[in-house]
Amino acid sequence: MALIWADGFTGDKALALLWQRYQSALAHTKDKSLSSQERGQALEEVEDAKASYDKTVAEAEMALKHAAIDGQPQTHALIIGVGYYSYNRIKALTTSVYGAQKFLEWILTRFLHPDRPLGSVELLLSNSNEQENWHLPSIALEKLGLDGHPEYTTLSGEAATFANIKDAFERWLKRACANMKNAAFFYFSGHGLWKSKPFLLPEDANIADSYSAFENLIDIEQTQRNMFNTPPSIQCFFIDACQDFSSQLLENLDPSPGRPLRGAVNAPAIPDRDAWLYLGSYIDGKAYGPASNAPFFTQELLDCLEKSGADGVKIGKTWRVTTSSLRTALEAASSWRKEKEAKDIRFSVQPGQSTFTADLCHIQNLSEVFVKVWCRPPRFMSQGELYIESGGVKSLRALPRPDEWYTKVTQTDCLAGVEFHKDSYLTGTTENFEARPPLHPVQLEVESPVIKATEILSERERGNNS
Amino acid sequence: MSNKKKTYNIKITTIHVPGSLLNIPLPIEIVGQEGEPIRALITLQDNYTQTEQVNGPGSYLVRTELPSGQRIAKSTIVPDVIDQQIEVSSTVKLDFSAGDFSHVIDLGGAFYDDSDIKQPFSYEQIDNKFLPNRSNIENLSPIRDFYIWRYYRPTFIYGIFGGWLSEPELRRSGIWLRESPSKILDGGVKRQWWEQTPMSLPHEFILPTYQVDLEDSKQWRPLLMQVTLQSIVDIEYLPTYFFAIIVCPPSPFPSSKVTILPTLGHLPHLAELLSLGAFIQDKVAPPLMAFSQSGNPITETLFSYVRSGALDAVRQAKPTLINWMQDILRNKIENPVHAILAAYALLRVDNHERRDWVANLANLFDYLPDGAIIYGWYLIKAGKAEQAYQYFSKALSRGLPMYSEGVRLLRDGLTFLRELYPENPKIENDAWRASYIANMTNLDSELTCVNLPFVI
Repeated sequence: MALIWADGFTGDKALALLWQRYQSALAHTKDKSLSSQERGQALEEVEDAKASYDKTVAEAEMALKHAAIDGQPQTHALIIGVGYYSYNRIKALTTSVYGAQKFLEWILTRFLHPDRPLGSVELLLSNSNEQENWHLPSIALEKLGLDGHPEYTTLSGEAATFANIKDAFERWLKRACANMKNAAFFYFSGHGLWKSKPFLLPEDANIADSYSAFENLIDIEQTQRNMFNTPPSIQCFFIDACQDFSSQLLENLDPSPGRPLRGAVNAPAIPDRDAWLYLGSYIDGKAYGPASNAPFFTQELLDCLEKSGADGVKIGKTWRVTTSSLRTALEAASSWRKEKEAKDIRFSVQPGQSTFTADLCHIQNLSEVFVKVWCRPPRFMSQGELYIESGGVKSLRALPRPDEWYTKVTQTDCLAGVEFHKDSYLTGTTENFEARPPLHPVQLEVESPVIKATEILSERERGNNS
Repeated sequence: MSNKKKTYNIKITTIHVPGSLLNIPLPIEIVGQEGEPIRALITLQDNYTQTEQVNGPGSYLVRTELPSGQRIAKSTIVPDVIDQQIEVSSTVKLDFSAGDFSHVIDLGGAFYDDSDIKQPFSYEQIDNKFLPNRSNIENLSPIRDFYIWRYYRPTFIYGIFGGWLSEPELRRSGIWLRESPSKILDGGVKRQWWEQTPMSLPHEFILPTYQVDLEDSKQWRPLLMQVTLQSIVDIEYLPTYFFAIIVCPPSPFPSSKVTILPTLGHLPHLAELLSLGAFIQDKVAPPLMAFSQSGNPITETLFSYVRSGALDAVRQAKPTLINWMQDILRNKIENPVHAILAAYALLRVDNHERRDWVANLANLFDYLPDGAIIYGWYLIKAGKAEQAYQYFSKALSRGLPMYSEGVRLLRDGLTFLRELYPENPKIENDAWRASYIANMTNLDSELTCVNLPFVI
């Protein structure tokens, strides 16, 4: 069990603190220098720490249930990062665990929803051996109740094996489904593959080869599909994993190598549901990330959720991020990252069912807006130099390219323009605009003598005909 | 000052609307500085102006997402009323030529922004008339996977068209006949014959132009269809048979469209060609995407929104969609494919709307697997999973779904039932079959395109 945060459980009842005590006690028992008496004492400490953690978790579950019965909608998160894989054939990762850590930091300290605050966070982490120590920012330590405990500057999650993930999923869903208006956020970062749908690889996953079969793969699409008849009404899955496939995978005769985390239940669909899978890769594509930081998709996802993914509507003092605006913002982020990193980055979405558009979180200060700029006719794109002026700063596109330019601006009053070489027969143009999130499209009309002449000729022709 | 209520309007004019977008209900959003945006539908026509009332003076952004995923936005400022004015308007021109990005088509999107794509097809015939296309024909690689062949009964499709088909009139809508292998015992001897059932097809198949990655060795092929055209000359019924195959011209011809290549009746039966291994698998063909034009822009638009994930746009257009669906189903015999597309769209944004109509789609069209699949899911969502299996089973017996969305839903529906009824061997078997088909299908493609993993 790795419920590490629950609303209202602070101080001595902070779940992360109790969890860390339990983990430390457990680690202490593995110290080979202990005498048998010390070992016995250490085992007792483990039992005590576990009992204390379990008791507080039970209290937290009850409190969350009461909050749900009282009609207070909440957001419940399950965060999984897999870097270590027990089968040697599957390469270890570091970026995925950083992704899970960043998502946790965001949801604990910067997630904002006035009507649906954070209710609980469940964490599973399988660190690779190369993983650097996770130094939580002080604000996160404070939120977790670990401040004032210098012995706990980091946090360890439960190992992200299939069985642990399934158990955590069931607990998370039980918590989330206590109120129809709750939101359930599922975050996974680790290896993934594609075999007619995306499959996720927990720590103990195995990929079939000539000698062994598939083991412990998560069928995330079926998991989401099977949730059509269970609350809550907002079900969001953020998956930062590859969707690689190979001919070996395709030719493997096992048509369905994974298992869903939620089993099938014969019950009518819930009346309102907004269910989405946001993925950091595309079919047959990879998810990319630096070895020392969160994957690009997670970086962009978090930026969208706290800076740029608003739907353009200001409600009171905040901007809201909806499932729909997040789709648009991530689409822009994907193109922006692709050009920036010069890699085949392509995020994707798989909408489940959507009978309404849910707001996922709110943004206090809208600090970035994605802008897409292109020329018309588009063939002039590769001849011109595109730029944007925002807040007195001029940003140029690195190189002329034939496709649209996605960029970010930090001020809403902007000017987009295109310039051509002085010897060119084309004339540059500009357009002022007020950038609105999640993505502001700007079209620049390029004038060329040829186009102008054609227009004049057709005008004359029309005149002659009439 | 008059006591009459002041009104503030934005006049939205749509210009340069391509033929592919004409008359579709396009969802637009008018976003002010604060508060909920105003949502409306514009029935797209060239130089058409629609007036939308807004809350008050101020800066507004009119924006829309096209079915292709392309976005258009224009800002405007609505001034405050002066003196005795009771109405004030500002104007916005939405220029749809902005969507002209035919040189860069997003594989995940629809095809509407390609201005050329709706041009009349030129059908490559196998006779001398279109000789330059013969090289394409030589490269064709239809489905020839015995696994599917044996168990999933690939569909041979015979088309019945009204009137002799001059080339430009050739359309794929209408009633078609599907032939499936069937066996009887005749005097103790097992014989095989071809059983005919009617079916429908979208009337045009489209392969988008895209950048070809020649290193990609995966090969996707569209659903194989063998077509026999029949014609009616005057009143006399004169069947004219020839078969054809939907093909994807491989990588040297990336801009070609998927089409039905008619071949004259004297050519050997396709099954014989397959068994002879007459087609060579092209190892460097790019992944195939096949799109269709059903002939109904509204349902196509909404289906494109479903595929690209713009489900809020589908919901916005839902009332229009339901009206159209009603009309479509009234005329269902003419083209149930339109109804299928509408039903796919509704399934994503609704749980129960017009379930009886969808039941008709499943029951009345024996030749369309898609209707049975959609209705199977409606039953699951109604908590009647025990009734859903018969429809999924029916769908499997009808052949491959026309749309890959159906392949996905069939797989997921049967997997759901398999978990629910783990002791039922029939469901287990069918779930395996559906997953197998899905594994071989390019789910990126709109139309069902099947991969050929085996070399015969």
